[in-house]
Amino acid sequence: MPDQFPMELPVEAVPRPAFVESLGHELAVAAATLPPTIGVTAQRVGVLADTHCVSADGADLPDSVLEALDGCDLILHCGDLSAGAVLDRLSTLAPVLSVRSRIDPPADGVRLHDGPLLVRAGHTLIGMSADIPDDIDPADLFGTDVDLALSGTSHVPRVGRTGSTLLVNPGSPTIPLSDSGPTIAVIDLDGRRSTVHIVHLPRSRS
Amino acid sequence: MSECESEAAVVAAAQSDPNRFGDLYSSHVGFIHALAWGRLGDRAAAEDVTAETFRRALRALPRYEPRGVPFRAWLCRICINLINDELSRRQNALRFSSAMPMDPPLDAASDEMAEAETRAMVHALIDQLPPNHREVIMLRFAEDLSVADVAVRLGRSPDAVKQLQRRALAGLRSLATRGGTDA
Repeated sequence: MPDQFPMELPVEAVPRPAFVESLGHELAVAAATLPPTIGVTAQRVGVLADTHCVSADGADLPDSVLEALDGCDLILHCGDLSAGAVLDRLSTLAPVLSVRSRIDPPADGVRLHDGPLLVRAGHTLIGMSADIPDDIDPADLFGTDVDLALSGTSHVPRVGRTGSTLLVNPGSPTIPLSDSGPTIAVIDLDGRRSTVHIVHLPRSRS
Repeated sequence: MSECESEAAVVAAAQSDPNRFGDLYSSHVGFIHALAWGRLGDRAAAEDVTAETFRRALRALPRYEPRGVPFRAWLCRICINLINDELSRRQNALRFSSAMPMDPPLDAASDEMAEAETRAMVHALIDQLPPNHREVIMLRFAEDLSVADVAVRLGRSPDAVKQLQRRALAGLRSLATRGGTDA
């Protein structure tokens, strides 16, 4: 190999500015639609939505909800909380992340995020949105393939699957719109495996 | 803060605010494009692979965990997979076309292939260098930056960059002549 060997590097390999710029622009547009990702450590995740609590101190969130969430190391709220104080009550149990719906208070960072949010718990990628319409592919909504897609709005508990994504709607703990009654969901994360439990609560409000 | 920690901070910033992905793109696009071009020997194909590498990286960004491995290594893994896919496609196309009558190869085409092979070999050797040596080689010779510009980019003095470049070139020579990995 000649002495000047390293000088034979392909200096002409400098990317053309037009290519770099156009790709950079394309990626910037794609990045603008990708939700933020929050990394967390959690094995048991409590999920709720549609709490519709209106009292200033969140006291109208039934105690049974807090009892059912006991032992969770992360709580995710998927919109229609109505009063922000409900997040304060939930925060007494575990860290809380939530996404806001149109009727919720103004955004407050990732505690109450405006728009879809991604949560990475170990190997599990969770997408949260106040609503995931039936005709929308969760991968399009979240900009990436998620393991769990959480949403609210319907007040009806549902666990389903599309492709490799598990769809979870925890229902409502206060205004149920199905025979299932008041519900939340608790999800156990174990490596790449997720186990979803729909937790049925007493009908009376505390 | 170590280089690895500071890069982890940039990646974490891009995860929590994807608009910051541009910082990662700017830092690595030159390297990834040079890697693809070196292995494929074809500018247009290298641009396609570079674009696809960053598209996939952006899409997979929420799942990325540093685990002590540089972000560039993760990008390289995506890029190399795409390069291998492209090379497989070419091999299949060649297998198909070899069954057809072919014109004799032109000298220009042979030269181009030899050049591509040299580039691929150089890049394979560069990949074996320590990260700081690899970086200075790529900045100086692939991105064609001046010593002064590299000094600014790396936060070092021009003299330190020259010294680093000397050591990196010596390491590369050693790899090229002895085929070892002791650079």
